Amino acid sequence: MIELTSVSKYYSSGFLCRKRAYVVNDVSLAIRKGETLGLAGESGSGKSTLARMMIRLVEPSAGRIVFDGIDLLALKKPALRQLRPRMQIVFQDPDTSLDPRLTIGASVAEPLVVWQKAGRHERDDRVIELFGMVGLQPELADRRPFELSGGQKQRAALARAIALEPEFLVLDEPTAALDLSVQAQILSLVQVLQKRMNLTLLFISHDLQLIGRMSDSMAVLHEGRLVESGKTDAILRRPSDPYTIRLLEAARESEEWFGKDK
Amino acid sequence: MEQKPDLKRNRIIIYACLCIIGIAAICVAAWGTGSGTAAGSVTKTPSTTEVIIPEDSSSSITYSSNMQKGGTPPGVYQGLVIKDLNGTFDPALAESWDISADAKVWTFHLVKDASWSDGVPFTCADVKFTNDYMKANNLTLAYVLHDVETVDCPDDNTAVVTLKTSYSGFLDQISRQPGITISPQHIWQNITDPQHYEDNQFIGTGPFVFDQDTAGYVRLLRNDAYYGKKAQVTGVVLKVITNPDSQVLALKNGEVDVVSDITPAVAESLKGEKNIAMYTINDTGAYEVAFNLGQYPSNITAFRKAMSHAVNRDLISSLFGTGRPTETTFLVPSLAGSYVNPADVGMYNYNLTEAREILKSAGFTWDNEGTLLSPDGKAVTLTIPMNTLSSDSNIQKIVSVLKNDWGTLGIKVSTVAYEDKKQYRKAVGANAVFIDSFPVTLHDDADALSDFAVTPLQETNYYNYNNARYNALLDSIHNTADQQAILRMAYQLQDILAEDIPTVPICTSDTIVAYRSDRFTGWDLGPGYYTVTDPRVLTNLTPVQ
Amino acid sequence: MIDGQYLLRRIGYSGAAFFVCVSITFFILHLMPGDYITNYLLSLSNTLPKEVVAQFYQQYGLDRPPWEQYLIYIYNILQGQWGYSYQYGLPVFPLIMEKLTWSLVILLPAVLFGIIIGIVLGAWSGWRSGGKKDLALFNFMIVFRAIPEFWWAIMAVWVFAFSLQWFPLGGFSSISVLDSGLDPWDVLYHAILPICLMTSFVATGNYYVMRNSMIAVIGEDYITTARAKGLDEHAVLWNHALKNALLPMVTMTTFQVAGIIMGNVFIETVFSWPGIGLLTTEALTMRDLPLLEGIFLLDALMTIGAMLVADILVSYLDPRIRMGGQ
Ligand SMILES: Nc1ncnc2c1ncn2[C@@H]1O[C@H](COP(=O)(O)OP(=O)(O)OP(=O)(O)O)[C@@H](O)[C@H]1O
Ligand SMILES: [Mg+2]
Repeated sequence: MIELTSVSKYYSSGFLCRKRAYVVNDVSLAIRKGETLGLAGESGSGKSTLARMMIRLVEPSAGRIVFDGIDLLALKKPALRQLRPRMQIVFQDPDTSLDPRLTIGASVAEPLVVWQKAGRHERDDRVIELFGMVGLQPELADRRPFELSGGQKQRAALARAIALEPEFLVLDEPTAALDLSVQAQILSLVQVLQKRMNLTLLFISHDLQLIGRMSDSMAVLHEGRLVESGKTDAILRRPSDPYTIRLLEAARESEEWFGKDK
Repeated sequence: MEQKPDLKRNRIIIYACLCIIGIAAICVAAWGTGSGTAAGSVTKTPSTTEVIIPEDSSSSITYSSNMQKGGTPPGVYQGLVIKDLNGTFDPALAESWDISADAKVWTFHLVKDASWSDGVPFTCADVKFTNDYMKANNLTLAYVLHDVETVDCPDDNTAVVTLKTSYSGFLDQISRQPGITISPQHIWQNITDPQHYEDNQFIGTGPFVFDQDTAGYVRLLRNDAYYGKKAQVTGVVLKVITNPDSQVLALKNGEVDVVSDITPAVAESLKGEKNIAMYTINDTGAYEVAFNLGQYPSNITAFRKAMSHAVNRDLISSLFGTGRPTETTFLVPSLAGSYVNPADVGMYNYNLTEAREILKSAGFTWDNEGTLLSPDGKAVTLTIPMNTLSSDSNIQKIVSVLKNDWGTLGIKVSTVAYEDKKQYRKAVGANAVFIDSFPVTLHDDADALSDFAVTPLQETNYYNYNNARYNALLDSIHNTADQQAILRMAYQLQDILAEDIPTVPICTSDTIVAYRSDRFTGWDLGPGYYTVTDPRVLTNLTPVQ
Repeated sequence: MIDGQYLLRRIGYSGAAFFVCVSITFFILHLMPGDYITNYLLSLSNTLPKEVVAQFYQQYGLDRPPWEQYLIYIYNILQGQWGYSYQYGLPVFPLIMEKLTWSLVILLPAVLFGIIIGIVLGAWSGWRSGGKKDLALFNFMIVFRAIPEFWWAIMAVWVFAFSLQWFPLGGFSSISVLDSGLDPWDVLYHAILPICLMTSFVATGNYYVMRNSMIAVIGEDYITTARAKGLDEHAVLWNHALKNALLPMVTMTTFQVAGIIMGNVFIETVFSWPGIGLLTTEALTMRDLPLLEGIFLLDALMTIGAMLVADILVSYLDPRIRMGGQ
């Protein structure tokens, strides 16, 4: 479904002698249709950047991205725009990912307006339906983001993302800002949706446990480089890269910590 | 529900377009009419013989009334006499005058055929009314008439002014800036609140008649019924140009006919400019190093004497670029004329060695570092207060020269700037030395000598100078009308000043005037005229044919 | 969102603030060193009889203790009496209004165009931030701003009025006014150059704020979201970026509009435009207290009014801000 070859992203800095700071460095990946790829890595390792590049919300500095047989980077803007409904993203921070001036109903409906997916009345119905799918009360449609809780916002963001029935969905740490129970609700919601809509998923998290639960295969980023990739079970059982091993150990330790606490 | 934002957006775009089109239309229209007007204003119709003069500020020509603020607009109002630069008085509303021997009773013979610009004849009643009315209503300028006891009118053409005390300088007082101009009784007698009365007729007796005050212009027209010499120009237009640079630009492209008080640098740049001529009005300002005799070390006569030899007038004057050094007790000898003591020419010559000698023989010493010590062993330091409000760069130049010379004498000189006149005056009273500058109108005759006196009216002076012989002499001057006696006593006063040195005159400055020589044959119209709006200049102005 | 009771309370506070403002200005003005009498009389004569001076102090009420002057002043204001200018001898209010009208001729269009141009350029620049065109514009603005307004004004007069003779040197009317009366087109023609200058000064200020605001907004995820939704760039700009970036401008522009009342001394001096800025400086140098008090009173009114308006406007435009809500 989607295939990355040697994708890199760097930012130049410095005024006279420009330095390149690589945020993502020579990453190659592939996700098959209907599958879930888990992307792990510590904070600042370039996960979000990579995810945004995959659907070309950030321009890669180098590399090649093929989405469903289409060379994504070769597309001109209008053609890329035509492709947008097929790939969607849910951002990490629900506070900033919704336009603060719009009601969430309007935010969710906006893609439907743009793509003229439904007439005016059907559109309202569709918004209510989407709200139902993500477990939001329809009354909330007239509220604005600041009037919602973090979990409600993230559900709204999810509703917005699936509104156009995408084939490929990026979930960038969708539950990082939420507490455990909400996290569980949202994740099972995602799994239900994935089955129902046959979604291809990129699931980003720094939590290896979650990745283990959600994904078929996984990849680990460290300072912008891909240090491990393969079947999730295999990697979690027998990690080959020292960095992954450390990540796993760290995860286990914190688990023990919390275990003792309780 | 979701259609609305789209519609709204479209509407906004349409509004924006309309606005821009509207603005563009206005601009284009303005451009069209504008360039038309521009052409009209640049090429003047040759038949116009109005003279156009720039004014620095609109407030200076739009006073609410003549009564409150004095003779504006120029040439409209007249006083009894008008003063010349050379110290004599020209007749104005008074043809001639007699002075009683004790200089207490002044009889003015008024011109016979003068009338107000609305046709009402001018009589002595107007003179009397002006005095009585100003005093009764506490008008600001009434202080000028403070010495006047009564004004009597034996007949329509005679005004008898009786003073409270003898005062030989009375003519000077009523004619020097701001002076007293006569106001029409028939207009003002009905006005009960002159402080807040807005005059918009300006009925006067002068060679010009007020026409209108509109949109930054004041126009005066020639008074064809004027009793004296009638003006050649048909009118005078005063145009407000607040920025001095723009005044010069306006002169260059012919929008105004004259610019007064340009800097020597600007004058230099105008040299060789076609159709622009320049002349200098000499000695319009004067500067002095003044001592406060109430403060150490200026209370030591030898110190003042020594310092009188430590003022490099020639250098300072050359730094000014205009004017000339003053070598008499009179600040502006050219104006004081025969009042200048012929004996004291060349006094106070610049000689630092002599200054040093005087200090030494008075018991001043110097320490190892060369600092001047007073006879009782204190280091001599001076602080000169400066008034920043007057943007007179000449004072800076004076101070920098003094700092240098007095420094070599071992005196440390510093300055403190005061933004406000009152504070500055206070500082003048608290320091030994200050730099004074005078507009010429304050310092041009025997009366200027009264600045150094203590009289019942003037309990102290800025110099804290109090010499009994001096005060008595000045009193005698005020009490006589005998011109010879006045001259003799004026010389004596100057001898005393040369002895006591409450002040050291430095030099004068000039006013440079540039004018359109293609419009008027000349502006430098004889001695005695020191502003370009002097009514005598305006009446004598001859347009180029 | 705003509720009525809150609005009432807010207006009440504004009234109080106005009163405090007026009181503070009064005392500051009266504590300024120097006074009109000294300034004026000293310019006339060095030696004045004491009783004459004392009489003038009494006449202008300046001999009374400050608190008494203050009470009289407040009493008069409440009566709608703004007093008479010392210099002009005319009632303060009509005097200010006349000068203000002239200031508005230049400042009203200048501030409006300046705000619009500043916002448009700033938005464009911020939207393209980092690009060559943005940097060129940004640097141009920095250079423009670094050189004092006065200098630009003089240069503009030199180039456009003197050398090219496209515009008049200054003033607000041609001399023909004396014969044919005031011609609005002529006034407009005189106003164009100062308006253009003022517009560019106002525009640069707004440009910076708008550009920064725009840059901050386009860094937000909801802009990326909007792109992900498949909105074209145009729609992203208009529907999401611009509207959010404009919010901080509302307060700023309201205050700019209120600030018109202070006029602009530089422009007015260079162009001999008889506005409120010149009047204020003149009144300050002469210590014309009633006139200064009048000007500052009006200024306080405008500023406090602007604050109220800005608050209400923002509360309507920005749903995040709720006034009076718990
Ligand atoms: N526009 C940019 N310019 C320069 N550096 C950037 C830019 N955007 C991101 N970076 C840098 O790239 C690095 C990776 O950022 P990214 O957001 O992809 O990390 P992440 O793995 O998602 O971290 P987290 O787990 O905290 O979300 C960071 O060090 C960040 O500072
Ligand atoms: Mg991230």
